Amino acid sequence: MPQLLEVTEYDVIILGTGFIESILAGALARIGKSVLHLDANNFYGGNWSSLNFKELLEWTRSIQGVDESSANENSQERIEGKKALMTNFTKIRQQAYSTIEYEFYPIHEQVDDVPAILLKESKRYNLDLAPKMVPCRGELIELLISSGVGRYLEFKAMDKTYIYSADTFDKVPCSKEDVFTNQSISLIEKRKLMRFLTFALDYTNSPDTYKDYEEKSFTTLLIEKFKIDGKLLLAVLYTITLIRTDANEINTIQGLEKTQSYLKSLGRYGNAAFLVGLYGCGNEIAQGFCRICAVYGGIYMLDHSVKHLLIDENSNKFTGLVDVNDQQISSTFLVSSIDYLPPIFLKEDEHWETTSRAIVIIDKFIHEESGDASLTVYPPETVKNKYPVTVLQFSAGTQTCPEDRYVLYLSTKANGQSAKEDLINALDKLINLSVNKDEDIVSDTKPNPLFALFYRHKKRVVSSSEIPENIIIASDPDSSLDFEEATIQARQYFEKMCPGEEFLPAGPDPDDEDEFIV
Amino acid sequence: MHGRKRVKPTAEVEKLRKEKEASKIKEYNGIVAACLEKKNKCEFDNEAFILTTKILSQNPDFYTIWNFRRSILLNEISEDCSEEEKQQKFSSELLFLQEVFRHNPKSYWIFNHRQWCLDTMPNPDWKSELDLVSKMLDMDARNFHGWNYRRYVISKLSCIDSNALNLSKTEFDFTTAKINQNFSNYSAWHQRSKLLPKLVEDEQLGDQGKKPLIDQEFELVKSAFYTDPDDQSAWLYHWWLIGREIRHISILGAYYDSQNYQIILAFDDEIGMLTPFQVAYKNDTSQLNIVEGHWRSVSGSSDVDRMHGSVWIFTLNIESGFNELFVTVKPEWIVPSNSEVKLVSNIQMHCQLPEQNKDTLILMPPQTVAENTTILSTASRFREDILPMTMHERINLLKREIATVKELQEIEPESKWCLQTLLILLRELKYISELNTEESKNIDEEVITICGQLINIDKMRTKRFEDLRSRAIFETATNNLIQVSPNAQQEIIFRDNRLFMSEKSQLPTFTLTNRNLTIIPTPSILLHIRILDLSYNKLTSTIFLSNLIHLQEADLRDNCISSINGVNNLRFLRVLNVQSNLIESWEAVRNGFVKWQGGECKVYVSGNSFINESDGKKLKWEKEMDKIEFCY
Repeated sequence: MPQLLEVTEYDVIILGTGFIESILAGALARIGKSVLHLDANNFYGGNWSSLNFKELLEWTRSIQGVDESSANENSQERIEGKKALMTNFTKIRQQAYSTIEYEFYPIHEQVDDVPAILLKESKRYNLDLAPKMVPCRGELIELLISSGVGRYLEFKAMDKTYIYSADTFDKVPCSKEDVFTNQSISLIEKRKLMRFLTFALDYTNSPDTYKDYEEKSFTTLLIEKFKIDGKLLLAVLYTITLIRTDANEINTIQGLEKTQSYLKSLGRYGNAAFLVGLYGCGNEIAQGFCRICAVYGGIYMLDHSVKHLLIDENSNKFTGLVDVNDQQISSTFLVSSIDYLPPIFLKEDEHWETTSRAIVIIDKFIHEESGDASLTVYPPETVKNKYPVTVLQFSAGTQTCPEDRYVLYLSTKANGQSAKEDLINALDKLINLSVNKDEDIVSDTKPNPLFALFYRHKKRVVSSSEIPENIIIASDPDSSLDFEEATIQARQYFEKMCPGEEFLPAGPDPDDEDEFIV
Repeated sequence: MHGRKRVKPTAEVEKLRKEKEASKIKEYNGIVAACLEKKNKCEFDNEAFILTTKILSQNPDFYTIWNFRRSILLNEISEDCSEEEKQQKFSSELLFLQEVFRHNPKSYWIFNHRQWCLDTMPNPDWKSELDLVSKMLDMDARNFHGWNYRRYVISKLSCIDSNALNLSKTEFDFTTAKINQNFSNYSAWHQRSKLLPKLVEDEQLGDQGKKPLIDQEFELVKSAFYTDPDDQSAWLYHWWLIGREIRHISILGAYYDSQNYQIILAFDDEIGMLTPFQVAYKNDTSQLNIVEGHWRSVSGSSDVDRMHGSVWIFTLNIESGFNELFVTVKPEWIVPSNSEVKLVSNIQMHCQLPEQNKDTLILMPPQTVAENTTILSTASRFREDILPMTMHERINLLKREIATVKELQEIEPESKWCLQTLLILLRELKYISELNTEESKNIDEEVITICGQLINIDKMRTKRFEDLRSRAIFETATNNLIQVSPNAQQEIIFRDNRLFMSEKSQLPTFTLTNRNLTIIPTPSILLHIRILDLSYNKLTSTIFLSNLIHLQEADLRDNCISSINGVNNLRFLRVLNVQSNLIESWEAVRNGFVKWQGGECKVYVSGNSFINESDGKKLKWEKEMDKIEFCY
């Protein structure tokens, strides 16, 4: 006998425990709204989640699998005078992913052992489906601090960046300290770079410097005004400004904004612009906000799916839903991840922002002294790539994998036929992919792979006039390396739902001994 | 921690805060009173000890209480304490200090007390102290108290550790690590400057072995100032690496005035006289016999002042004629004007009176004889502490650094540190090398340009750069008065032997007008000048004139002079023009002529703010000034 909910009326029902949904859950509960938070998965984080190895394989199979229940996907029933739209979580979720394929690689020529080995150490992996970092100064970090959620989380600094060009990897000087200690660039280049970085940090105060370039590309500003060229130019564009598309599409102001937000992040937590979460980034942060929600009375049910959404035909408003136990639950608002939406709201769109991703488990670090977390960037056309390819390397120190294992997260804007095609050349420069083909050329220094998963990840956009206005749709993860846009979006949704209310104010802090605030 | 805005608390919060504070203050004052009473009564008991703990936890800067605490501790351990008990006592004291440290990492008294404890306790653990101070510097790498304490700990460790070489090396690496984290760290660079000489010495590197090490330092600091040319700490270390060579004081010349039985001796810098220079004549058997007399400098009015200056007069006690006299000056007899200059060896001067024109005063090129001729020869060594160099190597190094800094200056034309470093490098180059007139002039020209830039860029230090520029302008202008003699000594070449010629145009003349001069750096060079024109400059004082003892006419129109001084001993002065200056009272003019020793003299004073016609007429002048004629 399934356990039924005692309370069946809520201010807000939230479907999915992804990043945006979880922030909203915390924010809404914090100001006294009653919240019911459901997830069809048995883990937190939805498409933003971090999975152990076994979960990752199950997830992969589920994405690859054929859904048998596809018979009646646009079926429409009526329940108590309301339009009941059927949901199809598994199938809709599949829509967000494509060209998924994985491979195990032999260690000591024994390929059979590898899955067993990885499954044995499965629980020591926390593999992010949409790996992201937290800029040391920005929307998310301020929210983590002001809301107190940061207390539940642990981070490490990501302070090493490498760039690939001319068949070598160079450490990129990103901060003043890096520029000072870097030995691969000349004194003059150090000066040019510092001149630009100093300007960009505070560019709005010297408009004369970039005034003539506002209509031109950011690259033109760097070349003409700051005389930055060659390797250094690539380093600025793709590792400091962190451009993830074609640099020519970025104009001066966009470039300066991106550069500035990077530079502002430096120096707050040591010599790093980004923090990476321990135990995986996505679901740890999401869970932190869920914890706030729970503290303020929110109710949680994982592994709990939804059958129907109920819509009042006259007002075209969402009124409630029917869950897996056929229990009817009503609420004023629905916050939902796209995966829970009835299929009729969704139309496949080829313009959806699509990212090719790979998760690769290897046996050695890719760069010496690269620390617990590092970023490697391939500028366009360096490995037959149209767009920059980024590689995040995490070590056991980030609690992402066991000792003596390293995890690589590759990503790039989708371009070719498959995720693997987009990323394999970049991967090939870092590790011994061709281990079987020719024993002689296997380099001892390069790491060997154990497992690689390739997939495309779409950021779906839903815009149907039929969708009731009291349904708030939380976006999929975007292609960026941070949570900034998503955080802004969460705040905007909150302000739309609860105008005038404070967004995640600090809760009472048990450690707070400020005697002067009564 | 800088640049944070202060948030003004609301009135209510402020009131609550004050009330809370008032009760705390009352409580604290009570404890202090009780403690001081015990101190006055010399009660070194445990109760007093607890009181000091309470006070110092809150206010570690109360040094009287620390003193009292030490008295209590000493009192306790003197009463037949075992070594272990003593050790125990001080260990807990160190723990207490560690706790106080946390809240006050920058209190002199805490460090003082800690050092006292360690010096007093039976078995101090220096290794753990080193760990402690490392931790402190991890928390704040720029806490100079921490660095200072570190040096103390290291000095103790090096006494007990035979492997001191390793210590210098690890300490040196420690500063490298701190500098790599953030090179804007005066303390770390300073520590490095203390360690480098030790490292060089410990590793017993030959001169060839030292060079890569020192070059590496130059590379490191270059990387720092190319990364951030506005960061002063790196530049200061660069300046230290370059070093300042001691500049040699030289004697410009001397002559014998047979009419007045005087020897006149000119240095190129001001010196103080500790022991009178020796004057002697040669008797028939060529032996030197001392000539009695007394020395005084021409500048200054009081007797103290007269033992300090650049032009010196020796008056013979006996009025007898000598054809030649010998003057000996030894380094230990003089006090240089500052630590960067010194007289390097004994100098003997030979002043000869020519056969003819015995009644006429004639300035002669002095015959300078240096006892030790190696002063500036090839054996010279520079930067003995880190990298001994020959002059040739030194010049190459300076030129290399000038090129590097100039390259940076081209990208950063507004960087004041860049320009100032160039000034330092150019000055070093000029003073150490045997430059020909052309090279020396080029350096001066460059210095003049750089000073001009710095005057515009660094407004807070305008005057300083104006003075530096004046020096360069003056040195260029007097270049033709100086010639390098065969024995490498600089001498005035007295081209004019016509001091008493009647025609003005033929008298020794020096003209330097409209060049923004603020100072006359070495007036002794103008010793023989009779006609001086320094009009249209920015001179603020006339005191330098006291060195120009043959001066007849001085034109100082349009300067920034506010009073007249240094002229009362100029016996030949006939015309002094101070028109259009900043003199504001008659007093400021008159005081300059007190004890006037010369003859008739015209003083042009119009164009100063104190001048109006009625004042001039009604003022009565003292009798001794009846030779002074004021003109408008």
